[in-house]
Amino acid sequence: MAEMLSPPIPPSWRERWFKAMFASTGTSLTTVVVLGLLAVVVYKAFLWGVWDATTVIDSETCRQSSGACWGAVAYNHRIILLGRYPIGEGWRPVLGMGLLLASVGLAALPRFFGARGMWMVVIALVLFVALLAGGWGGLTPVDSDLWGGLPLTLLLSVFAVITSVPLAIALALGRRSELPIVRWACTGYIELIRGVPLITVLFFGAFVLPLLLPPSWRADPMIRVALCLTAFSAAYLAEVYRGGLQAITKGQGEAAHALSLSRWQALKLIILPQAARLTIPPATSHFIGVLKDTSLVAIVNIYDLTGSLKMALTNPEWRPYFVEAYLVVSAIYLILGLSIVGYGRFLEQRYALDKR
Amino acid sequence: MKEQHEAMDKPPRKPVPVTALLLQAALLIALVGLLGWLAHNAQLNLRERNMAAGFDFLFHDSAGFAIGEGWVPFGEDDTYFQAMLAGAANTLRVALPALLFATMLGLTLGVASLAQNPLIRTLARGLVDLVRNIPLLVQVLLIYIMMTEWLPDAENALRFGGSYLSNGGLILPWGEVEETPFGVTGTHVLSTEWMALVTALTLYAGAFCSEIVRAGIQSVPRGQGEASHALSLTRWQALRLVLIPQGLRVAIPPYTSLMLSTIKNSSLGVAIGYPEIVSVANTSMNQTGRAIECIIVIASVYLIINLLTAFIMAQVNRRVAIKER
Repeated sequence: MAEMLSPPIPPSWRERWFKAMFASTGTSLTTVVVLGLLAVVVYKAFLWGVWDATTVIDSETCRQSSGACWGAVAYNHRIILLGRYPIGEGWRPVLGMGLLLASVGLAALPRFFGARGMWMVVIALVLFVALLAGGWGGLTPVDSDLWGGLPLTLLLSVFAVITSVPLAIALALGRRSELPIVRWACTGYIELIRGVPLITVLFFGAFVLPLLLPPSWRADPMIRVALCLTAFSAAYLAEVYRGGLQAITKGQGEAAHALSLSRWQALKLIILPQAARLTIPPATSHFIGVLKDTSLVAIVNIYDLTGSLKMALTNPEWRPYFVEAYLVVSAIYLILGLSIVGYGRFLEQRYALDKR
Repeated sequence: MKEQHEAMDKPPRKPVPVTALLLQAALLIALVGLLGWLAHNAQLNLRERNMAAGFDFLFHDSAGFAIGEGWVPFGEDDTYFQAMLAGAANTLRVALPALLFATMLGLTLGVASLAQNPLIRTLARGLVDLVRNIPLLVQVLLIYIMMTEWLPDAENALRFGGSYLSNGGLILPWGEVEETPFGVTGTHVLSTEWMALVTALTLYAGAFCSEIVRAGIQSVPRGQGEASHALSLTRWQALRLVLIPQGLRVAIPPYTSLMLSTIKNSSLGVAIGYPEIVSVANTSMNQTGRAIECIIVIASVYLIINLLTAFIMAQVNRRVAIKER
């Protein structure tokens, strides 16, 4: 019996990289130069960040050292992470943040998809706000202008995402409506919000909204800013969903009609699920956008992670070591953003059509 | 004859259901009612705080603050209208150079992220992911604080040729440049705020632009690259002559929205004190208390800029789009 010829073993990624990196003289030269530069950068970063770095909380030691001053981060970590939340009560934002992250993590698991996951996140949000605000069960009340840091960034981002999804679906459907007044109203809202920078919407919430509401309503600045983030996010997300809705062929709705589904049933069972699958990649980048946009509340004097960082650096003793503090904060944003990217990829694969 | 033909082609008009009419009437009444209620509240609030309303302050009151830089000369005695004008010009003064540099950076990074050398590809994509996932405000603040903390004072300004760089800004060699004991002064100065904002916007928009360039080049059918290889074009020639020209055509619509978002992102100048339109309107708002009017001014300025950009880019798109026959 003739020996069977097996296909050649595909080269491992290491072999492929090596081959591609040294494909020709020119490529090899580029590779060597880039590797050399990279080595210098890594070496310098290692010297600065590890070898010469100091970790004691003493600005005098830092001034004499040429390396990083991680003591500056250690000294300021509470302000950067929790803002001005009263000392001794720090466990409340930390616990609330833990609850929120746990509920978001659970809701992200396929077995909790749907209403159950949504309710978990909503309940966690309510508990989080209750923990921050206090005033019940022996917790001292804490004014919302003292809330801050990473918990506030997460609270505002998750709130804006959760509340803007239903609003965005309604706006997207309204913009595609056959009724002209509904269509004009939705289009006008979406284009107005998308036409101005977020900071304008936040200024509107901070300075104009109090003028437009009855004098007896004293809406808390935190609530106003959170609602502005929702309003802003919804306009952009509506365009994402409109793109998804437009990609669903007309035949789908007609087939649903032929099967005697009502319009509402067709929308809920046929159109929206398909549109949702198509909008996973743009929705993912929108949600990262919301997380990043939350930082702008720092401009209207709300001390989220970015605002707290700015506040910590007003201290002249530690201000020279701003790079260390910025590195830590950037790393936090990066980890949060990249986890959203990773989760989006997981969803995309799970709901890919050609999966058999 | 022709008219008759057209009339026959039209499908019969669908009767409008009564529920649809009622629904729209209800929405219209609700919207008008909401606007009326807001206006009524605004009146009550303004009366209670003894504040005036209207746009007259734009033309009659002098702003009383100075704008240190820009294309539109502006002094303390000029009106708020002129201040807003100078602010709008400053928005473009920061957004246009940033867009120019970002496009160059985006082209470089976009091509690099498709390089055949995996080292360069990985580095380029890593850099893009890094910049895209950190909030622009954090980057603006970091670059600004770097410039103010690390650059020398005006007395010890760095000198290159005829220009001077210090934490007060960059003094350009043309115009009058004068060395005084307290530092250097000149007619053409790029402020630290301007430089920080342009640098941050360039990096941020450049990272997004590289994704647009990459997607554009990847949208060109594979056969085009293979055909250029068969015609013995080098990889670089294939990119320059075949892939990039076809890919950029597809990239015009997303590039237009990148332009619009970069112009809007220049509003972060308010965080570091660069006097662009949002910053100027914010100062005017604090001085006059006319918050509603100032927000309307900002929205109108952006509306005009957006419409102009969209119009220009539509012309560009029409010229470069493939003519379907």
